[in-house]
Amino acid sequence: MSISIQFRDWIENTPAPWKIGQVLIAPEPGGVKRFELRHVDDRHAETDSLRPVDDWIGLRELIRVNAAGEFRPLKAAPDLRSGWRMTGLDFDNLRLALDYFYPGAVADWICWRNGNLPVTSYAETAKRQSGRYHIARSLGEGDLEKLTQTVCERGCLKRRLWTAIPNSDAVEGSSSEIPLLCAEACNYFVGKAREKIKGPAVEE
Amino acid sequence: MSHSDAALVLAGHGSTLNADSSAPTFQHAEAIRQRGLFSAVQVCFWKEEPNFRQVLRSVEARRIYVVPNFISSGYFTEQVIPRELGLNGPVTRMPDGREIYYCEPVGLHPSMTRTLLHRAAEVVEKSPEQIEDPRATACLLICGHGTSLNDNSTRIIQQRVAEIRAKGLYADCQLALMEQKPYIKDWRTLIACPDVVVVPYFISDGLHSFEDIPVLLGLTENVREQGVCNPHIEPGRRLWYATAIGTEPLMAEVILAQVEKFDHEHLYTIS
Ligand code: SF4
Repeated sequence: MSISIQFRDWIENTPAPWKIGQVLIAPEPGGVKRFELRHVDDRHAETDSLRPVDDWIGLRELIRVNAAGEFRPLKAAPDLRSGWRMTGLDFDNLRLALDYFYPGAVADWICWRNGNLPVTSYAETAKRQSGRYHIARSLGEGDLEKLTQTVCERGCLKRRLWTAIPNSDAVEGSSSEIPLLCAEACNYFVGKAREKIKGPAVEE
Repeated sequence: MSHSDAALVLAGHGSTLNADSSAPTFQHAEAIRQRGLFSAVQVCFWKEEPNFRQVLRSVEARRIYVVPNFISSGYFTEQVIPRELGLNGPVTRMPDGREIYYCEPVGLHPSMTRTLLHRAAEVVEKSPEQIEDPRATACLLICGHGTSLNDNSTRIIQQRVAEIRAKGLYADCQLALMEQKPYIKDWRTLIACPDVVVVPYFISDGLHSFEDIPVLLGLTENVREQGVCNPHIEPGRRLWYATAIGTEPLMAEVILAQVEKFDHEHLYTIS
């Protein structure tokens, strides 16, 4: 069964509203299958008080920076701005919008539920690196642990599967929440590992 | 060949410092998606999410075209993308039966020449001053980075320059580079024409096209904030500056042309 169909099934069979990261998904009234997205903090906000985001360019701009205007290199960072809403999304556009907020997260979660999300250890990820990231493989256990604390724990809402594999109860929070899963150290993390070993570098 | 049952994946570099680098990849994906030519259009990046490793999990089509949104072939297109996506040639059959068609990077396609000419003509057209007869007075200057490392991009620009020269639409066409000869900063001695139209051969706007190249050309405005005040006028010279070619909307056509080219070179013989 395709990921879209499984996602649709889940939506149809799980009590609304649904949540993914800091985004709340709610069905629009009227019985037609249309959805609204807003920030979880705006759960009780008056609809009219929220700024409409009505195209992909607007959505990209929304997720680009945090409230302080700083670039968000990690999409799953817990600093998504609030005060907006996206409306009138059909299933396809809902899936697409979620892929802007949390790229690949729906697919990763469905693969995880089906038991076929490949999880890659840091050692393997580091071994695959080449060029200027070749050095990432020399990160020691202790530093790796520290880095997951500073980069992942503090700065990212994803649950790491590549450090200790939790059981599925621990992964799925409430039944109406799509968990954000991290199956492999991201390139941002690998970049930080390189920095930890070599000191900060200018990005090419 | 119809692609309505196939997916298109655009693979870009991306950045952990700003959104400029990935913006054109998103822009072209959105434009192509809107035309409904493929069952799905996805993006993926080296430095951003979704990354190259993740993206194929989201794509359900049996046939998947991967087009690198890179200006030339090199380390990323020859090593990183194939490694991360698990490709073993132009056509890769995945264990689950899906086929991945690995196209050439956008910047290599011959239609880039047309795209450059379009961009150059447009930047002049949109400015308050026109070039009466570019064949008599204007030089089209294509700018690149230029490094000693595996510099395919310089070769690609040289090829574009030769093609543009052959068309004879401009009195002259030249290549200039940031970090090696012929240097951009020497444009006043390199070029004899009174009118100069500059197009950076980069995939996205950023430090190079917004700051470095304008400074090397002697432009004083803050291009990132204010855009360019074209033409820039000096005694005996007028200079128009276009931002990175990769942000040109016509690049979506180049991406599609790269898919067509792949079909011609690899698939027509199979089916
Ligand atoms: S490695 Fe995973 S958990 Fe850590 S920052 Fe990257 S995406 Fe988030």
